[in-house]
Amino acid sequence: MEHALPCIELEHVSKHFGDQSVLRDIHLTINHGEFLTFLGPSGCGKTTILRLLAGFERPSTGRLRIGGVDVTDLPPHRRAVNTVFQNYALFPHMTVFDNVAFGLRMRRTPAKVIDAEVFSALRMVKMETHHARRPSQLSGGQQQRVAIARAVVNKPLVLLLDEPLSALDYKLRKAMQIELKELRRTLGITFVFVTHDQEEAFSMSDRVAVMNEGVIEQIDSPSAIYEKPVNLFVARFVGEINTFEGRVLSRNGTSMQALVEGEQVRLSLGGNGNGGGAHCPEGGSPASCGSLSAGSPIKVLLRPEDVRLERAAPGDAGGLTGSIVDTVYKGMTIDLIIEMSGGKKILATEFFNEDAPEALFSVGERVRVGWVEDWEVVLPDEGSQSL
Amino acid sequence: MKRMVKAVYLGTVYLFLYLPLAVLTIYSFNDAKHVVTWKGFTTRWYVKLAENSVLLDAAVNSLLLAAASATAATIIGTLAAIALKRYRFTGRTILSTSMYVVMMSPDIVMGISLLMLFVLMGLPLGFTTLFLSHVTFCLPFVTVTVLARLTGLDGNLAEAAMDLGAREFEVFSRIILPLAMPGVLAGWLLSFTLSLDDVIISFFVTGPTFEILPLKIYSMVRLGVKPEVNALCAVMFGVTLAVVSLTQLCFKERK
Repeated sequence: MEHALPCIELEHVSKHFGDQSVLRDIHLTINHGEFLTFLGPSGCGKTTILRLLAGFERPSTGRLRIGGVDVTDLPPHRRAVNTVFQNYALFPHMTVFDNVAFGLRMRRTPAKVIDAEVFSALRMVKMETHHARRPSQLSGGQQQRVAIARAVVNKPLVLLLDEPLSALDYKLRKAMQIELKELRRTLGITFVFVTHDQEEAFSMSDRVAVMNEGVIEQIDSPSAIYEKPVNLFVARFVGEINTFEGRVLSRNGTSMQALVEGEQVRLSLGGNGNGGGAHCPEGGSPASCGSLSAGSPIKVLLRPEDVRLERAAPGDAGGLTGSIVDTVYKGMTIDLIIEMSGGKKILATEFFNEDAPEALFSVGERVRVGWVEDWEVVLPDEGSQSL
Repeated sequence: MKRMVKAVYLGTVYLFLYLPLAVLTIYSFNDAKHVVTWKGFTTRWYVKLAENSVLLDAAVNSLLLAAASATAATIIGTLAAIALKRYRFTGRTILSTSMYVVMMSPDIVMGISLLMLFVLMGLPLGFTTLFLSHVTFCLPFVTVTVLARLTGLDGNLAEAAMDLGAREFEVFSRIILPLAMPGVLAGWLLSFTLSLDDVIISFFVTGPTFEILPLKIYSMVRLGVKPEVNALCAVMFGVTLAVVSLTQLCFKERK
């Protein structure tokens, strides 16, 4: 996406319902052909953004542009977007064919064209043999496909998807995720997706916008969100993470010495490797970069799969140590729960090493806890910082 | 044992509901001037009924009035229900509450107040006043029935239609109205029935130019129940039975 053109632009958009503020000064550009996902807990405002784009709600302040056209004051039927609803919202009194044809009929498309377009849309979602059925005669997954066909048959600039997979079972959801990705490639249109499921967001999106309480906390590629979260909310919302409290002792260039859980360790500030380090968000708060001076409190975040464990020798002193208190078999991996010397419990995920089964740890063993340098994430302690 | 209890219980319920109707129907075939004793089978009361043009005129008037007022009440009531469900406007709460007030207020109060209103307005009592009154008391029943149906629907359907390019009128004509139709039909039937057997309100607002059946029967019965009236009631019950069975059948097929 070298010469990415903006498809959707939100300019300082906010929305209140009464005295309740749902969106606060959202400023965002979505490019043509991009798959962007709004990820967040319920009530974070992600669905409201979608409803603003569809035209079901008007922003309290700010402007919205879709395809270069200011749509802030345009009703839904005059916007080049279509929506796939969470509960599908198929018209129960119409057949599958009539459901899909609805949008074309509203635009006074000639009947012959309608026939061809509807069947090609239904073929795309493999539902052409069900065209005469009623929605009530279809399974959840089939209704989902019809809802998608009904939206894309109108050739919108943007497809809005409001948690469309949440009502499906796990296997079907996985299959639909792959199909949606394929569909996006075929159609080449912009997808804006809303979900509270981080796995779903990561597996499909080009970019993910993590939302909380009406603001976008971080907008980045899935890997950057996972590996370089800009704050504790993002870090905790996407996947499991271990949090250590610490304090900066001294800084020099790309690294610093810090006291973590009572032990002196070296932390990386680079962020040029595979993972985190203290990540400096572009144009964001300089807190994690500038203000980490000697004495400031910090949080060190470590994904369970980034934790490296070594057996501790009996006479060993110094460094972070703990003992294994439980192991959880997960099939491909094994989760180890470790109680640190200070009493804190952390989670580590290990892959099986088939060649060295003796390398697996067992309950009661004392281990030294480390990580691959540069894969830790250092954030200023938000409790003592104003965000 | 349990089945026995069930059968007896159900039997009692049906007995209470239909015994009076059964007695009425049987006695409409009774060959006697007075109803109390059975004197043998006859259909002469039905023949007499068919010759009684005053009674038949009243019946036709009643059916006409019921059809007209049910239709008017259904149109206004359906629109009111859709407005209450779909839009937020000033006076919305007052409107929805006032529906229940009209529904709950005693017929006698309604009748007297309507009579006073018509007299003050200088409207001659007759078809017009009956029609306006019947529309008034049927309207809330239609609104409540349609509203119940609309509330049971997926709230996103109208938005989905708008999203697909439908304007406000198309959302109404292609989505909301077809989906509300069972409620609309039920509302019409309910209004029709209410209008057809209303006595109290009609008693106040009727005029000499337009006689309706319930009032005619009421005035006839004051001089004793004639077998003709029995026959008429039996015919009306038969019609009701047919209409109800028909609608049940229709709705069953829709599903």
